[in-house]
Amino acid sequence: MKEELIRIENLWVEYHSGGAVAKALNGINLTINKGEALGLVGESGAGKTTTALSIMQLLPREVGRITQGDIFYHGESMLKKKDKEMNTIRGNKISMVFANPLTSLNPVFTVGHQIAMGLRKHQKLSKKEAAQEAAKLLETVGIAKYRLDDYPHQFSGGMRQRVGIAAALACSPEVLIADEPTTALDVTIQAQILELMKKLQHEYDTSLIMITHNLGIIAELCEKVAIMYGGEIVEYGSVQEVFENPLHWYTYGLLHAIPQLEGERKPLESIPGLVANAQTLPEGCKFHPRCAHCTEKCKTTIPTMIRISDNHYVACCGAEV
Amino acid sequence: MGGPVCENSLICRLEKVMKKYIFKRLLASIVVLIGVSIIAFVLVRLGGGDPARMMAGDTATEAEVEEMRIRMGLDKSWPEQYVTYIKGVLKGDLGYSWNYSMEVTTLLATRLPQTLILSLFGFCWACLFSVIFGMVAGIKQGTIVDFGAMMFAVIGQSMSTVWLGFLLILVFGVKLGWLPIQGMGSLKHIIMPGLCVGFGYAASQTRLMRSSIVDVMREDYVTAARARGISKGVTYMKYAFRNALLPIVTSIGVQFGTLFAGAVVVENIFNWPGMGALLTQSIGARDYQLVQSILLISSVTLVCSNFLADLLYTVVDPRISFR
Repeated sequence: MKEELIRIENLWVEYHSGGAVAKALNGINLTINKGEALGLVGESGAGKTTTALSIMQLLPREVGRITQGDIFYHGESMLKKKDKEMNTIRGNKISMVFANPLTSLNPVFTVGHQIAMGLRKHQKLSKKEAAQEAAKLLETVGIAKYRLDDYPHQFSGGMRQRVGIAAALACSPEVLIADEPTTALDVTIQAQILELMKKLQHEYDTSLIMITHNLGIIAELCEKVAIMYGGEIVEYGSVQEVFENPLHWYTYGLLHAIPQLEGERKPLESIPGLVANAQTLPEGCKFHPRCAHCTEKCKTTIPTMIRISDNHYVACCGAEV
Repeated sequence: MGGPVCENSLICRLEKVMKKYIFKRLLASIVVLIGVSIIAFVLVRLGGGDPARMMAGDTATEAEVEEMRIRMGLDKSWPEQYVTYIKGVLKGDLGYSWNYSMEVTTLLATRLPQTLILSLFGFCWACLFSVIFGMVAGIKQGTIVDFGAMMFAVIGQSMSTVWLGFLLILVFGVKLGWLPIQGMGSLKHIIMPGLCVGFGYAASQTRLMRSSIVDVMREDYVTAARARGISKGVTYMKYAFRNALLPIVTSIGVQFGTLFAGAVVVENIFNWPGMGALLTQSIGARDYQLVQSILLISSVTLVCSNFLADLLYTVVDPRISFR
């Protein structure tokens, strides 16, 4: 049994804006062990980024609220920690790579400064030491170190994401949360970034939470996968089990919406309907309005997570035999 | 890509960029100033009235007026007069004020610094105040501070300077007797006119700074800074502040020019012995060359402040470079 790093217990998150309430997370449970790579998959609005921001305790002020549940890091409740304590964890023990490298780097500070930020804060390095360390990190992610004093706008999108990764890895965190790190990049660059992340994850022995809607990335990088829909985890298990034997119809739909290179050419199957709106979530199973196998039971009962094997769990009424 | 050493150092960036830019900017400024001088020259003559008759006096005969006209050089054609004036300006001679019987240069040497002092005082307090107030209001969005800032912005922008001036005089000068109501001399003298000059500017900049910081706080790079463990305070004061300042810096050039021009009104209210009071008097007296020179100097101030603002902009925002 590997050492447990982060445990999310029955987490509920709401977003309040104006008079509207959006139920972003509806009771998710998740465990991340040391050195493990977990994929969080789902369409936009499924609650992936909210999960990440909840772990970081960086939900938008006033707007995002955790209404129930808790997140434990090394067995300690993170919600009970003061902001000051969280500041010693963020960027040090748990760090994050953001989705859009074009907006997540500050345009008026050099990349060197931004990589060194965490080092100066957490390892109390001097300006000079931090710059040296930042130069090493730049080289680790494949950028020449003389570019330390350049500004983000002097880099391409892929290069900027490398900078983002370098900044996130600066303090050798125990957990790296990557929030769709390749979505804003070209396909060819995506592959490079993924290779880099895979390599660095092993080098630094970092646990990885990979947030994406790209199942290929999960298959490439992760051992475990959690499929999210409507703020819930609908299927969870080892990547091999889940992808080879999807038990939730949503997972099935996702897997069949990917074009195949081999075999006969068939039209792609899309999942009908729209992603569940967090402001008007349906009763019962959140997925039932889009499910081709929906029964009366699905419309009224919220399915519970059932254990198929040690490596496979699913929350679907159809699977409860 | 250039060498690793000096690529982004401030001095280097400025140096490289400055030569070409200054040259271009200088050319453009010269065109602007020629335009302004022509417009001022023509406008003041289209205003009607006869300066020669005014100088000669009511009882003067036609012949005496004509003689005066020749002495003042107003018998020549407009183009001739213009060229003579400009030649003088290029030599540093801004003409002769018949109304004050003095060289314009000597006259302005005592008056211009007063206007600059007043404008700068107004400008500085307005900048400091609006940046701090706007920043706090933006960070504390939706609180009483924010509400106060918005009220101040609306009131300050819609209140007339004249009315504010009289109000200040009435309250602090007459009722409370804390501050002198006119003239200059001590620091106390500059408080009310200075407040007046900067008031509208402070209001509009507070609003700008507030909305700017609110925008910046939503940016990914602010969340990213927090995600690296930087505390809330440092994130706002260091990593959001500089970005939020950009729109303020952009508008500084134009704003200082407006403020400088607005000082004319304030100087008249508080009897501040600057260029503004001089300008109103000289227009009344049809003191052609004095009016022309004051307008020219105001334009030079505007051009210079815009130029300085642009330089400042490259210092704050590395993405901007001169071409």
